[in-house]
Amino acid sequence: MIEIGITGQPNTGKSTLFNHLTGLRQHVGNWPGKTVERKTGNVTINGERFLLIDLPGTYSLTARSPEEVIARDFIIKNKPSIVIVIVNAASLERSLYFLSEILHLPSKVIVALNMTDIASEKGLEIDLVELEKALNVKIVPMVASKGKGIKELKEAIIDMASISKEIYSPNLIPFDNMQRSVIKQLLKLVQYFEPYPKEWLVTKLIEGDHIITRFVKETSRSSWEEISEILEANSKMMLNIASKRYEWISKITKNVINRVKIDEETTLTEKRDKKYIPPIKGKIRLTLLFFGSLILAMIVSLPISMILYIVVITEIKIVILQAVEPQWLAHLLAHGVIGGVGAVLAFLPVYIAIVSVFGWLEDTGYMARAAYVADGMMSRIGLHGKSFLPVLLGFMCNAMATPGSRVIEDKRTRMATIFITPLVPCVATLSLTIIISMLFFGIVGAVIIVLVLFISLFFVLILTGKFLDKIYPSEPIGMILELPEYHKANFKTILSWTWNKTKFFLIRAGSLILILSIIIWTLAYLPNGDINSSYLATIGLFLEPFGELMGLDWKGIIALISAITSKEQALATMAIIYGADSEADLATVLSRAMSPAAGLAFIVTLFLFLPCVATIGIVYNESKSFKWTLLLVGWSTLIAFGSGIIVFQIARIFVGG
Amino acid sequence: MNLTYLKTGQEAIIEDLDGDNFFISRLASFGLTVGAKLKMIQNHHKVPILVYIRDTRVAISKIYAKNIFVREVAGE
Repeated sequence: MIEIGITGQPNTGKSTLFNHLTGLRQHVGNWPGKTVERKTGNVTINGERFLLIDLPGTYSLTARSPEEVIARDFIIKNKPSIVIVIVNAASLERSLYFLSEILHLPSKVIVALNMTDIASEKGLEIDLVELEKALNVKIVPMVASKGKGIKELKEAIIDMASISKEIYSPNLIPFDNMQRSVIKQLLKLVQYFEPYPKEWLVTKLIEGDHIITRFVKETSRSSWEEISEILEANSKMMLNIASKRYEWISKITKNVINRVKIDEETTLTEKRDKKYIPPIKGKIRLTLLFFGSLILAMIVSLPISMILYIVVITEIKIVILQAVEPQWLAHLLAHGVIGGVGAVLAFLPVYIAIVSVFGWLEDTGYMARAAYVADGMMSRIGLHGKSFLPVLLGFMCNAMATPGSRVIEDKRTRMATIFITPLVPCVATLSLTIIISMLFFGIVGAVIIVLVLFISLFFVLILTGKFLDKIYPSEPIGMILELPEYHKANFKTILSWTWNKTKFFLIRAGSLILILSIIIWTLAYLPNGDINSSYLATIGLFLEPFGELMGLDWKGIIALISAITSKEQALATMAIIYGADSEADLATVLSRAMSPAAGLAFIVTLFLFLPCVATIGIVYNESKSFKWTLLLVGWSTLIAFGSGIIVFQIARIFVGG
Repeated sequence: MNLTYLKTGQEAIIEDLDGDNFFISRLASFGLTVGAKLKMIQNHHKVPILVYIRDTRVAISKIYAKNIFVREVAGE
């Protein structure tokens, strides 16, 4: 099958185009050895099958973040036959800069000139024939969000697949004499190039690309001294190369773009930005938007989940208990499987609601504004605006949000973001907190508790920032961030985003949580079917002295500790251990099992504790540091259980332990 | 003058960039190169500066903006 890579700078509509080409038949995996998401999909055009590979969106091919390395390594090492480069028609110069880098690599390039509608909205008329002539590559104009140009792109793919590499020869940016001579000198001195194209490697060397520099240093040992002398003597050359590239691009764009004067004030982006980017107004709107959409999503979905959980799941359990023989199997199915996995599945509506709200915000172009106005806030905890998105998405799912930190170029901020993202409560944590609070304290009580918890979360994050400053001090680090044009959210893009994330959720429910539920049920059932003399009770009784500090008996502490496997697991565990001996609903059982003060401590700890083992695994994968992961687990345990104990000790004075 | 002195609404041309090649290549990928024209959209002490350059809006932290030197030019 012919491989096609698809790449482009961020905000060029890459995922929209990818979804259009592949439909929902996508395969989401990881890049080998990395946790960066790797999306592939099949496209059949005129009976011929192609494998489409979605490369990470990057601004350039200089190794700054893991994503950029993946994108270029793929093109250089896998040598896909064709690479589709998506170019944003509304910011042609900058997109062409990226394209000019790709053109130096060995694959045949098709340019998808996307967002031509936004370009004309901005008063930019692009002469396609001239542009094609200037670059000597195939250009397909399109509006991917509306499905325009897809057919033409498919035709271009077929055409390009049949063209031999020899005929394909794009126009490359010429170097001036000065640059030529330096490049020539370096070409002679560098001893080993494989797998990189020669000239490309040398320009990256001049650019100071870390990976290429290290590569040359290791492979050209005997000439390295001379190489570094030349690089030092021409240290300002990069300034030159970049400006020269843009000069060349400007010459082209001047020829091909006709700028029609338009009233800028009336464009969608101008109008919206007046509301969303001023520091104070913007922050207020961000807060309202965030809590507003969270509350709205919860109001719509939580009742459905509660009905599913309390009515449907209970009914299914009863039916199974009556119908299935032998009794132990009925017990296992009802309490272990349905009680465990069913509890998780009942939350699917909440999860889908919140994921799609985030997907919608992301697709409109708003998220970058959120990152921009939140920059100051984030710098207070040692992060910056670019950390905001992972932290915000953490409210959806920490395991999925943490890899979002890989767009952050500097290591310090990336590591700090990886540390902080898992500390925000995910959908499961939030739902569970609300439900348990309601069971104990009613709706009003639950609202107050959640409000107070959010305020304390704020302090926990500040405290964590201070802690990170102590153990990983650094100079202040800044960010450069593009604020893309706003556009109408695309239903298909949101659908695909939601589906991909939901799939992850379902797989986890069907594998990890199912297995753990069965294990916990088994421990609670053996050796003689009575939970109070079970193996689980033995473990629990061992932990009980610790639980007593926060007013929990062994069942409570077991439920809490099982929450480290996943938050939903805590609910599943509770269903197994509290629901095992009676058919009474969890509310009654819980209020009998825990005092209000203990219940409060339980909620606080659950809220602040790490979300799940999956997240811990991902923190390790992203940080590549065992120490860092362990530190996070220790810190979270300290904060969560510490707060739980303090809350219980204070609360028992007021409400009784 | 460095970019942090440019007021909201003013236009300028980049004259020099100070920093290692890595920093400069990073700026270049966002369209910030010597000779490029930009317009300040927002320069407020509480948020990063926001400029309009090569048909896009780019936010830059103050600590980086200090290394970007510009010459003010009259707007169109």
